Amino acid sequence: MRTCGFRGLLLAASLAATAAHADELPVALQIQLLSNMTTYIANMRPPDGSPVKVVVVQAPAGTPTRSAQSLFNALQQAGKLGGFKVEPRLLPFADAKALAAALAAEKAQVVYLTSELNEKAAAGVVEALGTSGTVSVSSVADHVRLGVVLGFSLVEARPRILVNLKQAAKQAIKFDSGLLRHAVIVDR
Amino acid sequence: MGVGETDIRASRPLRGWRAPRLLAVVLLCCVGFPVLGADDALPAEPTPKPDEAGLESLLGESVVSTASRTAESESEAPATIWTISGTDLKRYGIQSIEEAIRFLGHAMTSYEYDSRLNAAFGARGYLSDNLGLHLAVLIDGNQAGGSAKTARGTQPYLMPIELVDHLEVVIGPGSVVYGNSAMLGVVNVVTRSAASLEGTHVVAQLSAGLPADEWAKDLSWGELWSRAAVYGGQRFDVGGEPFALAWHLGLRWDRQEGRSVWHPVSGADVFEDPLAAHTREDVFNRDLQARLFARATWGRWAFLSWVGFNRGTGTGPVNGSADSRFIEPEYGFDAAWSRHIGDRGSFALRAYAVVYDSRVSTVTYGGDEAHCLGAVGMDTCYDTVQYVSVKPFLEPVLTWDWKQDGTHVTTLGAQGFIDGSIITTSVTATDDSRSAVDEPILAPIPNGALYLQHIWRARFGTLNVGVRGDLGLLGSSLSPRFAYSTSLWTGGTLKFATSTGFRTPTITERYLEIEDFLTSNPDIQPERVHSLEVDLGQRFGLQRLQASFFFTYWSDLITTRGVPINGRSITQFANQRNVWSAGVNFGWQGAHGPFDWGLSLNYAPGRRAMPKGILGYSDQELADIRVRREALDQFGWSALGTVFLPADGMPDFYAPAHVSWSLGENLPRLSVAVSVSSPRMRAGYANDDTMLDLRNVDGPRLPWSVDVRGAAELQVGERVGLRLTVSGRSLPTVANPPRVGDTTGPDPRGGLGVVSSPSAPISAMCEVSLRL
Repeated sequence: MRTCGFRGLLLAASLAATAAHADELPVALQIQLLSNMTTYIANMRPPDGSPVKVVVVQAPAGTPTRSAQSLFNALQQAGKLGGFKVEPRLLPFADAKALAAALAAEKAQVVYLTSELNEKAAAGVVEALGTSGTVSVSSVADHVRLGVVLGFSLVEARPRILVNLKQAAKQAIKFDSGLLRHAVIVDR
Repeated sequence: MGVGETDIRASRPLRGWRAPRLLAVVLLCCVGFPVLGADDALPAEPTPKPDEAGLESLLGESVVSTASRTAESESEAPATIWTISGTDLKRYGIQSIEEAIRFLGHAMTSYEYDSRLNAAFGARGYLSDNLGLHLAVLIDGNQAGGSAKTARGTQPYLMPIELVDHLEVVIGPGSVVYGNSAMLGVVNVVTRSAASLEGTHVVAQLSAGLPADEWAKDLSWGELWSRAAVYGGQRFDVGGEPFALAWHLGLRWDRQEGRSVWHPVSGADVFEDPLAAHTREDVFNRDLQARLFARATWGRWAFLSWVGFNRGTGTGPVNGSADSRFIEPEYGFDAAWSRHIGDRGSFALRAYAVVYDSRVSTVTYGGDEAHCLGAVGMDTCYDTVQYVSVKPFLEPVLTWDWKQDGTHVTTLGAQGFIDGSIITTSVTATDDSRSAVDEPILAPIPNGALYLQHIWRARFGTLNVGVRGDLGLLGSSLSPRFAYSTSLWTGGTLKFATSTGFRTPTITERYLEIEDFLTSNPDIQPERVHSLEVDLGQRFGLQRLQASFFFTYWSDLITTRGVPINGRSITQFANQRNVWSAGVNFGWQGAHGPFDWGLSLNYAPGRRAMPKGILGYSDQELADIRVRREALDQFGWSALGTVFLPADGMPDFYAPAHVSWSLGENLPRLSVAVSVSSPRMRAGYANDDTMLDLRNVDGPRLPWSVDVRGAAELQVGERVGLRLTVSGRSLPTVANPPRVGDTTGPDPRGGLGVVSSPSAPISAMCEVSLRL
């Protein structure tokens, strides 16, 4: 019995899926916040007439992509971000180099990371963005510590915005200073 | 305006949506508006102004997960929900869920009601003083250790205050997802993640209060308690995955208020000479409580575990003299594993168990020589009861997002659990030389439940429809819920919800038999509650207003009655009480500048419906349903052909409110919380002839009462925090009598009064916290 139970645990542990983070905001609220951010962050606004391009980064092929897919679908349904038409696109993460090339072609305003991306992948996205003006946003607070510019988290049942100021400066991201009154600064 | 500008514009290609704008510019020019430069004529998309009000409103939206077991905005949750932040719990020096509800809650009322800090909770017309059986108290969603038979989830030592992120209070029935006990509501204690705790923290508290007992001899009769806790969070790698651990070790020592317990002298007329008709016993209860709590996440796994220990002497949970004592160890473990299924589903499997071991030694006041001689052949003895409750749960939950966008989400869950009890009674000689142990009673009662919930988020609003079926030896129940919420306008929401709740009878209520006193009831059924509510909410900036209008019917509530057996009236638990309630809960949470506040105004009268034709009942028939004619004469009123009595212990009106003010950076923060209750009836008044006797100086009705707590906190440097709280209460006793002695006793002012558990009228607590 003990062996069977132990095997069961090993089998369970070997499955590649990642549980959704308990402190993640509902997708609809993430999109509402993202929409509001376009009024604060100049880099999120597209050149005249163009839609806001949002690249939703999927976890590497073969791993679950439910959160990314949900976010993509919800963005499509929303249709607009901050009054601008939105054009979402799903992009699987393979490595930083490939993603950098894909992002250069996309010319996206926003790169969105979801909870399915582990820390290594999140760091890869940051590396891929380099010093470009594309705003990286994540639904996982820990990703901001790794260099993602903007993150959402849940503290005491209320949404919080996290800003990595150092990374924002490095990427020359321009935003209204009023945002900092409502955000938690993460500089590591 | 220059003609040339028009030319410039005309020379540009007119691209789709710009044409109307150009036309507008031309028209404006024609009516004499100021000249626009060439570059202004076809401006790029104007820079939008930061939408600060919108952002504040979004950041003020609570995200909750208790009502439907899925993360959702409070505005679309299928119930009235109130969140209490961990910051507020610490800020106001809150020690228990009961205090959190009393000072910071909404729609629910509560008070400590006996000498062991057990608590009574009330909402929507009904107040439960039945050991927490009508309120589901969860810790991170774990149902096993929260409510159950001893209200232990509501006791101070079981809540790791410093580790609490927030409390989610769901008002109204929640059996659709939580089954048994979720009648008044559901309180979920959500703990902090390891990531939110930096390093190790220490906190020490010391509190002292003035005596409240009217017969107190001196100031030493006042309460005294101290508490220390150490807690922290750590993260490290295990097998390539981050392992995040949050932990909390708490220790609390209590010397409760001194109390005079009055034991009636057999045959004496208590009104003739109250002092001579009682003997007095002075009691000082002492408790020592410790608990280690840990929460961990590792990959797809989440764990909770705790070990608790509670030891005490004196009266309270046992109906004995001051020499009685108890030990209550508790062990809990919870493991949950989850994974995605394809791109639409997720599956979680949760296994958890609690073992609660209560060992009580009861010393009868004055001794019982005949009993001791019969049992162990000695003059003096004590009775012991060991009650071991074992509750293992297994809970698989499947969630399916049909369209991968959250618009159609179905949850299918099952719950299998065993409500296991092992009860061993014995009689032991006082010198422990002999002991007579009865055969242990084993009662492993299996239970099963299946629930289904579907959430449909559409343009017309959000529908939440669910049903749960519970099957068990102690009763079966079907619990449906239908809820609809919609956005009326910016920040405004409307909710409609109808829900049900139930409580299955306890083993005692169903099976216990005591010769010539108590008989079992094979026909006893679960208690039920049905609720209908309309909830209006409005958010603007940091302000959140909420008004809930409800109608609630509590049916088949279990109380005792008399049944004739062999010509004698024997006590039996039975479904025989119905309570009606309709009212409104108004709540406001907000902040502005250095202030933040909360206000809750509640009108929730409860009226107990008497059986039809009760005014024509004989004295024996009234005695059998445990109602005195004096109660009907003094407090009964008729409507629609039914006689109603005020519900036990439940105030018609109650209002907690709090406000906090930061004096500035590096300066103290001041906070005040107030809880007001309208007059309410003492519990059990309808069947207490001494309490109902007009010669009783107190009578069964408690007056208006106010509880106040003021707090000041100061951060000294980055690592040290200081806090001082001062609490006062206008009613230093509570609605319920103590569980030992008589419900009444001599009053120092003369005559006979009602005896209640005393609580300090004024107390002060100081706290030092340190981050290592």
